[in-house]
Amino acid sequence: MKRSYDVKKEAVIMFKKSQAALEFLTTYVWAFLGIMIALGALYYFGIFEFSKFLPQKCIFSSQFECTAFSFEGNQIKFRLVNNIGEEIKVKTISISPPLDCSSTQSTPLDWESEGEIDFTFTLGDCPEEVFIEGERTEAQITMTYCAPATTGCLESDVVDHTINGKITAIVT
Amino acid sequence: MKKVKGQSALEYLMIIAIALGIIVPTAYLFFRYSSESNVEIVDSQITRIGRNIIDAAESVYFSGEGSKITLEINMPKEVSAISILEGRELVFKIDSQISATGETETVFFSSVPIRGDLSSLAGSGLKKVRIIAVGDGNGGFEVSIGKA
Repeated sequence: MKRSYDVKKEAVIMFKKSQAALEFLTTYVWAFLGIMIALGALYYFGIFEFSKFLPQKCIFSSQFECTAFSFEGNQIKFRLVNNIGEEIKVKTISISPPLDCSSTQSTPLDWESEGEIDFTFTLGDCPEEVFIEGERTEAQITMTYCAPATTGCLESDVVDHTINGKITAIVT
Repeated sequence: MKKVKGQSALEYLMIIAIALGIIVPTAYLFFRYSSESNVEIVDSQITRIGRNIIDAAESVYFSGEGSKITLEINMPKEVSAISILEGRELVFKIDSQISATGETETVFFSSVPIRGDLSSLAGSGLKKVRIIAVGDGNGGFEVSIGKA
């Protein structure tokens, strides 16, 4: 049977041990907090935006080769070449995001084989956050077209085709 | 003794941190770059397949009725459907990797009349395509394209 003196002594020892353990854990918590704040600050200043090291690109099918592109001010510009081998009629062309933009190219648009067309989209009522100078920005382009030589091209949308492209560039 | 252990632990942590600092951004850049390259590879594969089919169709058409060519093509998995429209358009529907909106289409125009059911050609793998010149019932020819 333990004496009350021994029980007290054990309790003091256990208290000291738990205090040491708690202090040990607290040190880790402070270190963890410090690391999280440092990482947050680095993220805030864009250190982890590795995509800025990727090249600027305009990806389209080789049938519509993208030969030039830029994000300038409030405009998205790109030049496509009709390499499909036939004259086509572009019925719609849209860009996203932003969703609320106007194109200088009105549609439907006749596009002869091997012809080049410069498309320009001007941001009208689009949110200003979309284009921030120096930021790497993406825009997806969707175009529907048909070949006038194919029966039904002008009358319906049965023979319409859709092509998607993507521009990734830094806003200047 | 404790100081030496602490130093080695810190050095170990620093090595791990530096290694992670190199590996994580490199992996991210590699993944992004390779996914964009894949789009171009699939595009060039489909362009080659489409051109081969149309060239073969034109070749058998001008060789006369009964002419036949069998092509072996390696279809990429991104091709979700193949069809012929209005007897002159060979259309490949591709699961677009550059757009969240869905499919994109690659079209090849034939200068000779073509027809056939190519739905079974979609999907990845080695496929045999039979291209044969047949009579169109009006005294002329057309080219039938189908799975061999």
